Amino acid sequence: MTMNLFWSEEHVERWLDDTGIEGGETFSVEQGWQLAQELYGDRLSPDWTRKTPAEYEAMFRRAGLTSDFWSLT
Amino acid sequence: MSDAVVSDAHVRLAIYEHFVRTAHAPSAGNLAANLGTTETGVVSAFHRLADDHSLVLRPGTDTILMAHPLSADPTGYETHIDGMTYSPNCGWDAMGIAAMIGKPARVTFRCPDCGGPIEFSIADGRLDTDWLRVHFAVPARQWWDDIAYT
Repeated sequence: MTMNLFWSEEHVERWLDDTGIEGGETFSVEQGWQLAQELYGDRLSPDWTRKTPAEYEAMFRRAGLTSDFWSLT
Repeated sequence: MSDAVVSDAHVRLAIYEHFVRTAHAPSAGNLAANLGTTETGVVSAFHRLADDHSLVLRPGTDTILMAHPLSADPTGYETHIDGMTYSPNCGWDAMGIAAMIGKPARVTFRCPDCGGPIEFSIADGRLDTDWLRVHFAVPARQWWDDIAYT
């Protein structure tokens, strides 16, 4: 499991050093909450359908996540 | 009991309703009884939903491991809502459960680096913290290459 929450940027960097995991993206908990609401807010709807790659990318852009890390195409 | 034909969408919704009600993943047998259909039919729906990435089964089985954001197994993250304790798949999903259920929630976990306990709350669409940081290690296009690692 590599989608995690941390006390601070310093803790992220130390965890990366300790685990040998390279790179990734660090962002604010508010951005994470925005993504959570967009991705899961309608999950209990009978009409739910899986988002398309383009819809995922638009969701990331709205949260200010625009690097190639977030690209699906 | 009649053997009703139920859609994959109906099975998907029944999975989530059971998971939210009990904080545990349903078995195909549970759902078949509740939906008035056959276990074989529900198992087939599980596999089609898994093929579509709408569900994750334990490898080589007909048993649900993940119905995002919910996990059948403990992960170290917990989302507490209305006296229930749910296991999310990751830190993002810990908030995802709160977003999905739409009720006041408390998220508890330990910092992956130092092990220090962390707790925050979500109510009325807002977090009571702004200092935590989120880290994703796997680029988005690779998330489903190994969803358990992701």
